[in-house]
Amino acid sequence: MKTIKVALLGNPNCGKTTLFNALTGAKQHVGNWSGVTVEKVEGEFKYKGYEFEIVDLPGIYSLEPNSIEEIVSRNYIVEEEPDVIINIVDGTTLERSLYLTSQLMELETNIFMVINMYDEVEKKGIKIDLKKLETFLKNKVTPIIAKKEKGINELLDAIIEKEKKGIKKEVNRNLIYNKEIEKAILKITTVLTNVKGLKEKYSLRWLSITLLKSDPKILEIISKLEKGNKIKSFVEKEKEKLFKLLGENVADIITEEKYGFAMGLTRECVKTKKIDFTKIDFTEKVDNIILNKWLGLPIFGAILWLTFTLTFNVGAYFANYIEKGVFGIASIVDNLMSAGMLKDLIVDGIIGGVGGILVFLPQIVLLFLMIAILEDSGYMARVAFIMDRAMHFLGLHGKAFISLFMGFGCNVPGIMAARSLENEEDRIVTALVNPFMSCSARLPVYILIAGIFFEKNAGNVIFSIYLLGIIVAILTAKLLKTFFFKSESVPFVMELPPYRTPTKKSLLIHMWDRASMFLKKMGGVILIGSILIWVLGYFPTNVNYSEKIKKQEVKISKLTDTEEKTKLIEKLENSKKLEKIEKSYIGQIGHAIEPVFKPLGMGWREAIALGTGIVAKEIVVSTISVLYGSGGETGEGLAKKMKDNGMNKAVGYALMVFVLLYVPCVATIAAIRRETNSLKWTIFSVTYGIAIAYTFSFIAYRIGLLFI
Amino acid sequence: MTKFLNELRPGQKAKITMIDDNSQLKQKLMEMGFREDKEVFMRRRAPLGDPMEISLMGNNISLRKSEARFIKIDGIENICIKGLGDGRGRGLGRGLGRKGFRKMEDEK
Repeated sequence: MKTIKVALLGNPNCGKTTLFNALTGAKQHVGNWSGVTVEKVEGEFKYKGYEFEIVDLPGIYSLEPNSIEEIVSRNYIVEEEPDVIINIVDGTTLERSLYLTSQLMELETNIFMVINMYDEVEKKGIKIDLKKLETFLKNKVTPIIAKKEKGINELLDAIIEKEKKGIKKEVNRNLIYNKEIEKAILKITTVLTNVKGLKEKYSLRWLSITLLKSDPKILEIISKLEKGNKIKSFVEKEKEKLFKLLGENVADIITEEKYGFAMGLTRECVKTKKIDFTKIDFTEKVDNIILNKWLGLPIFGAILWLTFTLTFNVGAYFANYIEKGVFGIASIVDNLMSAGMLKDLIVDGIIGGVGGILVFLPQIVLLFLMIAILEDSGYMARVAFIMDRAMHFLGLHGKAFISLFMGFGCNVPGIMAARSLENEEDRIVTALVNPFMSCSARLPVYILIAGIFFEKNAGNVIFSIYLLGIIVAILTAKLLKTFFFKSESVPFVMELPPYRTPTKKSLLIHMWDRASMFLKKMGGVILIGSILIWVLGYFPTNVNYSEKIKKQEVKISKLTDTEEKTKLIEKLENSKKLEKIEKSYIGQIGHAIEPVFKPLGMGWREAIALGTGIVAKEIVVSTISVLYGSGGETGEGLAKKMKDNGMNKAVGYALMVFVLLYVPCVATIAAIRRETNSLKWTIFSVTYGIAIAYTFSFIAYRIGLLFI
Repeated sequence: MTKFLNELRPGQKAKITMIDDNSQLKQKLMEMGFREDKEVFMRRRAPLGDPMEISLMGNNISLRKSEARFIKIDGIENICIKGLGDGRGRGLGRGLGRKGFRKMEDEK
């Protein structure tokens, strides 16, 4: 079967993803472009005996290498040489779209233009001369309605027809520049013709033009060539000559002329009615309410609340069932297997670990359902519009607000939500800041500690912890923006697209993508991390119990009264549990690092509890209760034992601060690794978190001591 | 006196004369359709005062004031549209009365 390699390219909001979904259905793979956080979506499908391999390139307005999305797209087109490029344009904004098309023409690609939303085009009374466009682009131009899957077969038929004739590089000379520039292009092309290997790989005309524009990425390629410097100085001379002749920067003239071409082509092929600003359509009507000076923020607040509730409350409902299911499986295995290390590994390590992953699933599916609805309907752009001022203060984009806010529920979906940001640096900063948003798993720890030490003031104390998290997040964002992401802030300019009803297909695909990505890409890491911590807490198994326990054992064996015996055995089991974890590797580590925690007023128990908390923060509660020998009970008994062991308000507060700020759980680390696509930033996040936690915890403890 | 896009009030339209910047921002603005002789119509400011929303070639685009101040404009005109305020709670045309309009004319 013959394979046709297709790339899909177009402006944001032109219905590119809708077309992609219509073409491939659920057969999609989501990944990243190598080395960057830009999402790469691929898919394949069969049509009339041909296999189509299709890549959905990021939505961009231009192929100038200014943003990572643009670089990725251009690299793909130049290096991977797809057979065909489907250039999707929004028929109602043809002039703007044609700028990207003009850049594609220069790359000598086979452009199959599809004009999307053709129903809206007709409704708005715009007349497009398709035949004329076809002669300019040298390939068929197909009007489609991606949402209703109309016109797609015509497009594919046209591609197959072309394939039958043999697809080759399409030289398109319809975009001609100023005479002097053309002369320079010709001269540079002649020089480049003699360089070995260049002709086969690139369009020389395109190379010459980009060299005249001093394109940094292309200069890099040229520099690596043997004659690189010679070529560069030749181009420089040509540029100087042109500057003297034309009195303007060549790059500017080339850009201007491309716009001129786009405008001219639009004038030739499109007849539009004059735009009437006073006409109020559906989108304007909705925006008059949703973006209203007074109503805008409350409506946004309500939508945010709805998203949060649906994700975490409804999510918890399903998570509950998953937990029960996992527990059920664990108890079945528990009954089937004979006692021993393997059983413990399977029941506590593996099934427990898998359960720990699965409970995130409902939240992720629901959050991404909500995000998909917000994105596809067009409201997400309004979120950025409403929140930009507040977030711009942190050097972040307005859309980052959603990701950060979701962090209060759970950092994992929060960090995954950073994907909706267009700019790579924003995505990384948002992901790194997210763990300081105090997630719901930390709340049980606060409730326990604040309940014990602050009693009536517990509410206020917990509130202050949340506030501290936000302050640290703000400081961290500022710090990252000042020291690591210094680059000039990326323009905010963006489109507020018309409101559209999201399609069921796109919502389902989006949800499925996120869920499968979470399970496939993060599940493994989380599982390994959980098992690792379990192993550290489980081994060594042959614990040498203390004299006290041994004596107790002997005493129990002599007893005959069954009631007293069971009571004592239970007590003994608890002490054994305590000693076992104390003598395990994690306990040994806890004892070893006890001196480190001394300045914070904490002892080995807290050190161990914080260590086990890396699996999931709520585990801190159960570990503390085991280590203080209250056997899982978290009420009065535990409170007394903690106080007896020298814990006080100051330590309690310091402990909460530490839990708030230190290493997020294994799942969060996996999410950060995944979304930043960088080991460096993941390690940074972990070490920075610990350092910040230690510092703030120390300050909190020392200040706290003054008040006791 | 030269005016810039950030000075445009909701309900006013104008013509772009020039983009007064030479960085990545100009490139981006031009890609989005901000070019000479194009008409822009100021729709509204965000509830917190920044960014602003404008209409350009049939698209609604939002940009920050700090970005709009690089776009030179000319030929400001007031258009009456129901439901649009000037960011200070007053509607243009409607509810402004003669006094309001005269004041705006003066400001021009």
